[in-house]
Amino acid sequence: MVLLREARQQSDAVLIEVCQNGDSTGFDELVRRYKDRIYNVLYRFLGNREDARDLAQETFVRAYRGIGSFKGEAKVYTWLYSIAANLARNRLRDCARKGRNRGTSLEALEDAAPGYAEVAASTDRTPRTFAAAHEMDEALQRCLDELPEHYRLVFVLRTFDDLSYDEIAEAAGCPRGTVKSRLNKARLLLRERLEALDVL
Amino acid sequence: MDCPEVRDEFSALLDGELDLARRSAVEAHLAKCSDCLRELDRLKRVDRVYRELPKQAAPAGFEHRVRASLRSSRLRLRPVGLRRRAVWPLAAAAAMFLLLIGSSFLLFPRQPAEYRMAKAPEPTAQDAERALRAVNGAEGGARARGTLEAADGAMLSGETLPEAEGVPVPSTAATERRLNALAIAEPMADALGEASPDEKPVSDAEWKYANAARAASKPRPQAIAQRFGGIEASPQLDEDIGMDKADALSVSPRAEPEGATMFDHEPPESSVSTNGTQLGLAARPSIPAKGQERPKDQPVKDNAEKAATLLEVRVDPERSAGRKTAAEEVFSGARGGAAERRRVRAEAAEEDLKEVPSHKEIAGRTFEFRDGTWYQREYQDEEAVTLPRDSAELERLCDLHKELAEILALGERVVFRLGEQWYRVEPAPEVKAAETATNQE
Repeated sequence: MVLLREARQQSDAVLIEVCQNGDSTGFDELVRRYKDRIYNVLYRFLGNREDARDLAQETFVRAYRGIGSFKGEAKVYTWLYSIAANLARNRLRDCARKGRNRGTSLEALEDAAPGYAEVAASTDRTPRTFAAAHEMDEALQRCLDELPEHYRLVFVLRTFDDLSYDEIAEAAGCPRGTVKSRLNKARLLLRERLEALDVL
Repeated sequence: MDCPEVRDEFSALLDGELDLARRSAVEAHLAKCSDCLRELDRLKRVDRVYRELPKQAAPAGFEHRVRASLRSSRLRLRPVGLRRRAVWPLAAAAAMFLLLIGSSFLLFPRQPAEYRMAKAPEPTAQDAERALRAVNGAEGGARARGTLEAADGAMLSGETLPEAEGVPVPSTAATERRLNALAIAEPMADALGEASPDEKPVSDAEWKYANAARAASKPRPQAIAQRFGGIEASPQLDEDIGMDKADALSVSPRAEPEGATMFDHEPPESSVSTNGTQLGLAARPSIPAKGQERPKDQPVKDNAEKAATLLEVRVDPERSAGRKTAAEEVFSGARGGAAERRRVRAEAAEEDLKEVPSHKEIAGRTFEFRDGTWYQREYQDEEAVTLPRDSAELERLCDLHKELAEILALGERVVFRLGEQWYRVEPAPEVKAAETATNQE
């Protein structure tokens, strides 16, 4: 059995191999290594902490199940992201079917718009601007939530985890050219919304 | 490039994903188009505000939740080799083999020859001498050889063997065909490491002659008798060849207590072992090719020597044992998928029962697993503050002590120390209730 301490010094490929040999220590380390990244991307994609936590957890469970068939041609994290993305898309469709309210509407946010400009412009964080900053974070998240999911996914992967276009293509399961055009469109749509909120 | 074309490239430009040629073209356009430049600036700001959003870390105890989820879904990692090694095809093949064997017994309940599984008495030197007498006698020799071939089950007694000059080597057309076939098989056996280069394949009949000769020339070791069976008087043979009971030879495998099978008694293509010495078929006369005259210059003095010259057989018990194992494997495989399935199930059950490791080192501390709880090694039943998994206090502690996330990932129940205070982390009440319900079930 590989010790946890040893596992931390191993590359992803070695950890996968350890798992494929039936030792779960390698998997524990993979979870430790990627849980925050997966959770953060899921949170930004779903806009909801509970869903993000559940799906991040489910992502690792699915990965554990499928680790035997992981060939090592892809990077471990793009593989994890592709699992997470599929789960998240399914969750969004479920929510849409059930008509679940996923947070504050943009209209409501627009009412508070004047404050955002101030927050966006401020560099220091006083208690007042801190509270406003929190609100602004919420507003930015809601703008993101309003994006169609295929635009949102590539934007989130690029902006919050700095994946390259090729990695995004792998994780999202679409060609590199599509990633480029979707990212462009996502930024244009967000620009419009943020301008409406007076953030830009 | 015109404005819309340039704007399509803005994202790739911002992300550093444009190739040099396109990048130069876009930059050249931006140098003279202020509208596009402003547009690019706005897109940059979009990117900036989002990149400034705080990164969200996975909640405390996330790893523990993943592990608990894996446990509850009874998922376990198995070596890929084992998983990929399909058991079903093997089981199906074994079942098919068993079916074929079974049906052959039904269709052909008894072979005509005397190759039978019977507990045979120890062969004696007298038996062997009688055998050789029969071999050398003008009529008896032919009959005995024919019988031996019949007993061998491979060469039926239709063709008797004409006396060869000097050495009684089976030399009918059928025998020669068989010997030639064996000679063809020799390189294959060599390639499989079953024969040394100078070992030659022999026919079963030859092998038996040699065994009998050795028994006649010197006392046969117990090991030979045990492994290769004995000589049994066979009434059936008596009738067939009209010999005295004592003279009728039927080489038959013994029903050995250690479970040796008929495969043990099969004369090996190229080696037989009796006393631990490496096999040598040194004095074996060469087998003439089809249509070739057998050399006539092989002096043979007496019966025992004649047979011993024909073949000198020394047996390596390890090889025999190895062959036995292979035979048993074939049989155990043939016995069917059920045994294989039972074995695989037992392996899986064993793996399921595998305990979690008894201790682990986390964040410089050693934790021991006892009675479903991970205890920090130093714990001596001191008073501990109990914290449910979902308590705010635990969350606060996790924020203060980053190493706690890893410690809590050990398991559902963990006892650890922070400063001078001991803490006992227990499952959240609803999890506890669910556990109790499961246990009651």
